[in-house]
Amino acid sequence: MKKTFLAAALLFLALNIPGRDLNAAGPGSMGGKKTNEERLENFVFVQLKYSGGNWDPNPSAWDCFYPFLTGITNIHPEKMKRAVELNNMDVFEHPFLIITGDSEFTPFSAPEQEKLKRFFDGGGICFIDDAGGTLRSGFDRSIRRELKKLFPVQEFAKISPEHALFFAFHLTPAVAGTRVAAGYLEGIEYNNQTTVIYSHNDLLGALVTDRFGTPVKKCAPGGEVQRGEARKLMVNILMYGLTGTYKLDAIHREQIINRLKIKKAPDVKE
Amino acid sequence: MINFSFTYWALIFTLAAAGSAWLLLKYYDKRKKTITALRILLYLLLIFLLLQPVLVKTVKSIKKAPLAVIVDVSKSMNLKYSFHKYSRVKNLIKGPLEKLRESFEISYYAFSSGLTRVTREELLELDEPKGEFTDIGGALNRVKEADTGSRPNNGALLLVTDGNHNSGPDPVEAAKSAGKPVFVAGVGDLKKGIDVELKSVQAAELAFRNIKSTFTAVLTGFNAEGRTVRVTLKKDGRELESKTVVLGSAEKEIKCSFEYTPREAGLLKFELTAVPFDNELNRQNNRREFSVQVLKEKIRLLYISGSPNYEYRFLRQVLKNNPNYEVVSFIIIRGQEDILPLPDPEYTLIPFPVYDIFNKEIYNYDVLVLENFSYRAFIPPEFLKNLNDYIEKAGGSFVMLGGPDAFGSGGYKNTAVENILPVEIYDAGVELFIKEPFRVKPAGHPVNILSEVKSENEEIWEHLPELKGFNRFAKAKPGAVILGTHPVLKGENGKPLPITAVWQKGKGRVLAMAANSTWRWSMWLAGTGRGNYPYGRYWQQLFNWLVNAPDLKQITVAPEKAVYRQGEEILVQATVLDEFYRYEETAAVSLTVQEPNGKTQAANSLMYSGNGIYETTIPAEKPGRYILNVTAEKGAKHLGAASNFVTVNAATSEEYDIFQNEKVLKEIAAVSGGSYCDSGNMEELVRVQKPVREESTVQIKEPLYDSPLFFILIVLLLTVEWYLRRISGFL
Repeated sequence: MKKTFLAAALLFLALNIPGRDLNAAGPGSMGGKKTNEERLENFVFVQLKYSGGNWDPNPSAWDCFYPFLTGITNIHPEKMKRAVELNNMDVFEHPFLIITGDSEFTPFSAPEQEKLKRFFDGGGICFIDDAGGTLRSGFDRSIRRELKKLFPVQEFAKISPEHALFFAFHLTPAVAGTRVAAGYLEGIEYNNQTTVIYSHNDLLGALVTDRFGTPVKKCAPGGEVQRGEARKLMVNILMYGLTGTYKLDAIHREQIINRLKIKKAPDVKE
Repeated sequence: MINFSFTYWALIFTLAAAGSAWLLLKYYDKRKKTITALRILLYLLLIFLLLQPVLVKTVKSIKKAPLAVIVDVSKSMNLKYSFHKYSRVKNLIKGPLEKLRESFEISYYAFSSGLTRVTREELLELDEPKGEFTDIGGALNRVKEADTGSRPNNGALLLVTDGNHNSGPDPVEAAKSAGKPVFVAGVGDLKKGIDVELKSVQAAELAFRNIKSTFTAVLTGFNAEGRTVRVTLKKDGRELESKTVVLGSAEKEIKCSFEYTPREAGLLKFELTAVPFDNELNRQNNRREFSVQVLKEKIRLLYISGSPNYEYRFLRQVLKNNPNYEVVSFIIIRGQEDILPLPDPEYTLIPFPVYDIFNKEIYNYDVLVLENFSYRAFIPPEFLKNLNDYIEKAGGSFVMLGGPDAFGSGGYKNTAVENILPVEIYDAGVELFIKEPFRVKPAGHPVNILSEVKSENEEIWEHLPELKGFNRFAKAKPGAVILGTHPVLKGENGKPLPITAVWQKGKGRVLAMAANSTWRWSMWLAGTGRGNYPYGRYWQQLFNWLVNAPDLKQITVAPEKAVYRQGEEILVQATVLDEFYRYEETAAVSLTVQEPNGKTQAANSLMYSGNGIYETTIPAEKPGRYILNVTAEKGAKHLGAASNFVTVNAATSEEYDIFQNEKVLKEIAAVSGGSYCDSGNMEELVRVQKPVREESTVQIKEPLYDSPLFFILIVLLLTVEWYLRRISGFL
């Protein structure tokens, strides 16, 4: 609400600066270097806020991950994360949606189901993270129940290690979070893309640090190496959300195969 | 036995006869009694006649079995090796078939591509058979239909042919279902020397440029088992490749395949030849010509994006869903200032092959898209000059999509790219990327049609969500076509600020779009429950327009089939749409045809057949390429023109099938329960084929009332009665 008011006020000021209106903006009217604001255009970290359960078990995960993501990639995200609900059209503003939780939640109402279905119909992609870090949790039951209603024909299936997601930025990151409840991601294929990506490992939990950068949640059993893999995987998931399967284009294939060979080659003894 | 038919007149005469009988009993005078008796007799005779007496006789009849003689009148019957085939047929009709007439009721049919009932004399008068095809299967089917209704399961068929079936249904299958034994008189010499036949060529009618095609020659060798033959592939008379193959037994088909990668689009003519042996019986069946329509391969699109973003993902999805497009993309997923903490092999980042792309590879793509991409950090400015050649000379298409790193903001002012764009842009640092949301105001142009229903189209555009941000152009250049404008803002020239503009630049086409957030249309349309189809349609239409795809042409012309055979009728169909791409129903559409010999046929009009389609037929008289040129007018307005072509293949192997195909003929006879004999030994057929006589009992009806005897009798009775009355004084 505050944001809307602020935006309206700024627009009002812009339109009422004496001697300048948007129609008059031309050469020299607003020159200079691009501001950071101009660059914040291509991604918003959006979480689904639902009823019952715990929709945001790792509230600071995005804030902690933001510097890492912007430090290594050309993604220019908004700094603040957003929460959307399914009782309005906000979800259609953001084609990448995150659903997380650690316990069972209230079933979506029929209109909410319809909204979410339309989100996928429009080309939306959803990343789901079970913050419980276990299989067959209450959250898992709820998610499967809700997605079955949306996709009665499609089934969750393990995402192949050869999926574009594992090549989107980092080369084949391991599937991990604070836990390794499942060494794989699950997904649902719809409209010729992997529309739903599902992690069981509390992936967002592995991103959480305190204000000094010290990890808050312990990663087990792999410790900090596992956390590093979790970060890499998160980057790949977001990159997949923005670029789809482009890394599978033939022109990239040869280079990727070469790097895979290097990565898998045994250390040379000196 | 006599049959009667009842009539009420008989009742009246019965009453009259009864009255007369009563009078007879009443009268005592002898003469009166005689006269009355005569009258009674007359009445009884009339009653008898009025009951229409018919005499029914039962007799036994013996009928000759029907024999349908089906004579091949195709061109190959006019060929001669040791004897002229059709002369042999005539001798057959005059000689052995005359003998068969004693036992059979013979009817004659002539067949080639169709079947006609003919007389014996017509067959004898024919000098040169000229039929283009030999359709034995079709002839057997048609003669069955012609015979059905009378005695379908009686009689027999006699097929007189050389057996070189080359058109229509399988003759052996047709013989199986003929329902009668098919006796076969094989006409023509039997093969005795060596003969290699290139039976067919297996090649797709359509191929793609730069994509390998395979052409396969199917060969058979007669008396040539184990011998080696050289097969050559030629294009426009020039030998491309040759191979040798070892021939098998006469029935065994040997395949010899050639791979060829066409480098140009268009209709390419090829020839496959099995080089004849010195002593080969028939050299004419060693060679086959064929043509392949080579199309441009898939539309290849090179997409370069300045950053990972949804516009790329959504557009990629649209293009990937269209099998006609192949997308290759480069996305700057890592900024130059970004630091990578891990060694290179941990990432999938690959170097951007700038030199190769902008100097060489670009010509292999049909469309180049630069989306929110600034060249400055990656491409030397001189490389951009190649874009001019790529578009204006090579006919490539170019798309620049907006964003903070596009157009003037991307540094393209005063570069070669500025010259290509249909809009004037500002300098970097001067041009604004305005983040304010706005709703695109569409112009009336085919690519903006998102529904055929005008009101629905307007409604879709009204409900499309706002785009977020746009590059502010100075104005459109002269010659540019504006597809969308800002709803409020104006350009330097005071006209609505262009958001989307296109133009033709030399041979190529260019699109400039000031925004890169049209993905919002997809999400929002789906969110409203309408489905995101209009979003995909918009971009498909835009890309189709850019690559000049046929989908967006107002006038198109095409034959119903890409390849016809000589002698067929070519159905030419032209589709005519108005400027809003609706069916144009009242156009005057005319067709001129350039024949294979270069001669141009006079224009003929096409008739409207619905759904914007106008059609006519032209005869495919000559083998070769017919060029079809269509023009459409509406009143004084010229709607447009279109061209296409159709290939007509030479009719068949009729020109060189000099021998008899004994194998097929024997199969036909065997499966139908008939028998085969060579036409030179027809006496044998007459002996083998016993006449099938049909005995039946027939009832013959002879109407008695028609007999003049009864008329004379009536006159006689009346005369006698009159005479008696006269001499008795009763008149």
